[in-house]
Amino acid sequence: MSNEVFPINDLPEEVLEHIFSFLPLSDRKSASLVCTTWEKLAFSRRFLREVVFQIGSQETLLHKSKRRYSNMSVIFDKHVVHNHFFYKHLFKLLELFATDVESLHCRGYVSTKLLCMMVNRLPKLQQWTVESEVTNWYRGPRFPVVMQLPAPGSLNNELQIEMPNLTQLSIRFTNPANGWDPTAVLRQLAPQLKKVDLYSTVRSIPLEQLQFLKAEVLKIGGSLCVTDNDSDLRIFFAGFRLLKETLGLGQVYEVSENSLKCNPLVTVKNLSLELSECEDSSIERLRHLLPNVIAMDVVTLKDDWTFERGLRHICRNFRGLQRLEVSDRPTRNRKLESGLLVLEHLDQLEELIFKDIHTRIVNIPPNPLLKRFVMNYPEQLSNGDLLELARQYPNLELGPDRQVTSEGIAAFKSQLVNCAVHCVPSDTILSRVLANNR
Amino acid sequence: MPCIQLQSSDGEIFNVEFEIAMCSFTIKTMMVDLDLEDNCEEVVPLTNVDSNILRKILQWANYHKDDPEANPEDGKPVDRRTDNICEWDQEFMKVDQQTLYGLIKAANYLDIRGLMALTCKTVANMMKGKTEEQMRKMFNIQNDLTPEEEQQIRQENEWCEEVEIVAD
Repeated sequence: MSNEVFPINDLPEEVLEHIFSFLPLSDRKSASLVCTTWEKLAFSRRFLREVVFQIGSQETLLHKSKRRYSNMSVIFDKHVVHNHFFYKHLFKLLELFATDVESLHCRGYVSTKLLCMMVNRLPKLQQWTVESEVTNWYRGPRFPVVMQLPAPGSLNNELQIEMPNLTQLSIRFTNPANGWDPTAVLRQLAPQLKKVDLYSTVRSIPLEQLQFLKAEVLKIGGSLCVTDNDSDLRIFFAGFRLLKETLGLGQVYEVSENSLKCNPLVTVKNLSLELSECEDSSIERLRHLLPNVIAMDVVTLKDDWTFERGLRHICRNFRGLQRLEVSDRPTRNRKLESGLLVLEHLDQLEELIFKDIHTRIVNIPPNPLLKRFVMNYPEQLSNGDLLELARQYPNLELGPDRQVTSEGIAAFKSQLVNCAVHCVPSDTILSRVLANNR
Repeated sequence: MPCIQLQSSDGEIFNVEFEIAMCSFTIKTMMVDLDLEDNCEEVVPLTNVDSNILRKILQWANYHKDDPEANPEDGKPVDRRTDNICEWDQEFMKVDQQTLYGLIKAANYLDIRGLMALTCKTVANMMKGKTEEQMRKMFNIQNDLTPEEEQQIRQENEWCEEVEIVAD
């Protein structure tokens, strides 16, 4: 029996699913407990793409799940790592969801062997992330339950991986321990990967043994680029033939002098940089390695690092930039003044995006080709800033459909005669200040 | 202004501007398939929509006739917000549950995407922040889950988290 005026369950299932699509996960969880139909639709296969299922030491009832999870995450922490029941449970769940899982995230202590056993049970896997942060509590692997499991299919070597769909791999480790040596895995997967993210604070990935022939996006960070061996780096960078989209250098400490001797990666157009204590000369070396970069994202990670200095070196070295996005730490409330004058070196700049940058428009030198300018703190723009923008860019538009002329600004100002400081209200339409140069 | 004639399930005939009727993909497809001229003499029967609902829909379509057509393939992220309903639409949605239900069914049948989103958002807003018990009560739904199934769903929900969206 259903509500007579609003018989919601008589609606076609796709309509009910459409209604649920407007609910955040918390409300979908409540909806899933209403009745069988709602459980099915509130967590339909489509919505489950937006959900990660965390495997922990759950109750056994989960083996009756009817949901088709796409994303899975497993944390191997000290509570589970020596618990035999956990591994039993884990492999049961992997089997249950095997036909749908497309992304897997493993964190904590995991041996290479265990990882191989896991991924080989997920034939649809496309994206795999491994994060290892091992601390003192780890005292050697003991997985009797796992070791009894037969290897799937025809695989006879336990470190062998057969995952034709896997194209995205992310390996980040800050404290690699015995037992987790990614070389065997990387060597097998390297030729098929399109997106590669490697981060290590200890250089233990043998760069010279890896050839990423299909990689289009590379993210690399930590100490991986710091090596004394010239030929390692050369071979490593020569292994990227199709690299084009992004070369993110997460947390660049130092770019080795040897990278100067590598063949430049001429196909790379976009670079994203997370800068911490970057040496000035590293930026120069980057420019040699990446001569054709025209778009760059720069993020700062540390409070003590002088942001202006990094920006200065970037602007001086990458003068051909057409797009620049700069983000400061959102927690820092520091004004940038003369530091932005270096932007005048970028005479090809068409798009400038500031995130969490506190400054006055008058501190930003006008770029003759600028077509788009975005600031995420429009409420900090004073009326003077607006006038300055209007002066620099006569066809200024505020938001997608608001033309602001000097008369408009004057009118705006006249409405606020009693205000000592004129600020643009933090209206959502102002979240984008667009300067259109026609 | 070229018009077409739409007939509601209870027999009332509406003269509708061609441009306004085209907000319905169902009518659009029908016109193309039947190769009907703009100013056709023929009456298009809408057997699933009564005159009250059709009048409401035409009122909505008239107000929104100049809206840009949403192209689902233009790579924009899917609209999941329910707090972005314009004032006119909020007023328009102040109807009783029966009319709301009729509008959803008709918007679905006529394939009017904007109205579908508006009505579904309205229902989603009714559900937001409610417990499962309150939702059941609101729509008078019988709980057909066994206590064991309920416990299993609860456990499962506990371990579900939102995917972090990584902006490219």
